Amino acid sequence: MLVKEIISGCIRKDRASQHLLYKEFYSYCMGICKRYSIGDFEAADVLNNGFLKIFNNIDKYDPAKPIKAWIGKIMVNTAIDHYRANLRFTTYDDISEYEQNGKEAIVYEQMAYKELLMLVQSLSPSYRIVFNMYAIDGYSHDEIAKTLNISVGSSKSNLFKARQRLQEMIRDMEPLNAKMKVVSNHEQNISKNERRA
Amino acid sequence: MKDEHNLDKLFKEGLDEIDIPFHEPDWAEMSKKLDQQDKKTIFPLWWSLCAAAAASILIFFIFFNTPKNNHTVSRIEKNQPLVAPKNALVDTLIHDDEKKPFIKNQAPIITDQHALANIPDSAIRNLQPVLSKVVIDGEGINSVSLAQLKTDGKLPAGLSIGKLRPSEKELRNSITPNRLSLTVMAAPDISSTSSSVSNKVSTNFGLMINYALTKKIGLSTGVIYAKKIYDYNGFGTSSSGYSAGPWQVNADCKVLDIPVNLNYQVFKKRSLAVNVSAGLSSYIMLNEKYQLTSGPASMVTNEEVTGNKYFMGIANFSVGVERKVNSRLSLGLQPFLKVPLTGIGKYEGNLSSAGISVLFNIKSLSNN
Repeated sequence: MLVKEIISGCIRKDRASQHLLYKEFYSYCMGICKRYSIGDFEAADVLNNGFLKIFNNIDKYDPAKPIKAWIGKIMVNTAIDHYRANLRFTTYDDISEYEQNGKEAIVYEQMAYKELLMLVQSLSPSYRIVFNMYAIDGYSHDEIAKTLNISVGSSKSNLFKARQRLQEMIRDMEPLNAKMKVVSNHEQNISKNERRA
Repeated sequence: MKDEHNLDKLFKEGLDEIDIPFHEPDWAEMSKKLDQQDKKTIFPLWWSLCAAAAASILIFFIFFNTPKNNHTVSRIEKNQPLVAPKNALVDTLIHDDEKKPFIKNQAPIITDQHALANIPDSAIRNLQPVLSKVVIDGEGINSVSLAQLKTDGKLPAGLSIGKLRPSEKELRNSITPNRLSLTVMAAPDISSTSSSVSNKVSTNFGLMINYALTKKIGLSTGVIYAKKIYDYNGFGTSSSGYSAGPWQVNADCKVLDIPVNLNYQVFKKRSLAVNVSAGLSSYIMLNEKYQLTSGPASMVTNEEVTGNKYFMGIANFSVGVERKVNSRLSLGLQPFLKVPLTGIGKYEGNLSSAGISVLFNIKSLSNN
């Protein structure tokens, strides 16, 4: 009922209602934007671009569906658009070079949000976007390939390299080493997992 | 379990659904963004209105402003029968009882066609003001001696100087119509926001100047003093602060409303006319008083703001019925609607107003 009223206010372009909706979903949306961005500044930029889309299209929202999922989808799309708009010299590698490179598997204990965010934000833009889309937002490699206009192989290789880079960084983080247990488990079928898309 | 899956899971769980505290400056940026977008939508409307006004003026000049030159001469040539004795010419005489050109006898009574042809155009034009002041007394006369009028400046027997009664065509061409008129208006209205309609009546008083671009299209502007009383409410979503729980704003604002409207007369019969008008208003907020009731304890906060301005931020629409009382004064009733194109006031309420204006329209006193 509460959110319904806010939404109907937003449809009428009422600023106070827009403020309420923004506040209500700020944390959730900022969470998405931060992991797709290099830092807070970029995240806030993506967040506001996303909310502008939300406010401009809220009349198209189907009230039968959960608003959170709709907002999240717009926010992820905005982050992807932002990535594409800023894409300059990103190269995609083919999966074949990296398919056999997994040497270690790591079982992680819970890490702090800040540390995880810092790790994701340290990735290069092309690794970060594929990792976010695949690992967190549930896109398949086919979808990623279509959305980013790359090959499925490139999507897989970027995911692979992103994971590899993350593992390296985790290993290098002294305080974190205590929190995780590294196990040799590289015989696991990596490629099978990669191809689940 | 696959290591990659574990890594994905670690990040998915660790990065999802995290509680990030609200950062107010981000909203300030967002608000600016929305303002910029609103401006972008307002300006095309403003420009299209200007373009419409410019187009109306252009149409007026092209289609309604027919050339007037040598009109008198051409009439004289067509209506030669009006000319009687030598060197005589009466064209603009009209009978006192009828508005038709004075033609006592349709049969040609002119005796000297050459004399007419010899009258220089300039002489005819010079004669016009003199003749236009001649009216017919009683039975009237058929003609006036041009020479007589020219030489002694006296009117022949049976003629007198009376009020100006030219023909309808002459009237159109020789007298510039009153283009300016003044309107005194008073209007009660109900102000509303997106969340509520005020139960109190707001008042408006104003003075408007109207300029007729054509017979049907006019432009009006002026100043309206308005007292806007409205409520605004919402539901808070945060656990603390002013937006926790329901909140309400009672606003009492004194506003100077400066409208620029384009009017179009859709219907006119005798003394009754129906007009529609549309335009934009700028609001200059003289004084804004807000009473904010919010928070779990229904805390009341009073705030006062001055000096806010909203340039062309409100769209005006109205339909008016006007009844002529006499040649100078007419009375009108005009239901109107004011729709905001931008957030108005401290809480940026979607403040719209609907009401009915009572108008006293006074035409300008001077004829040109």
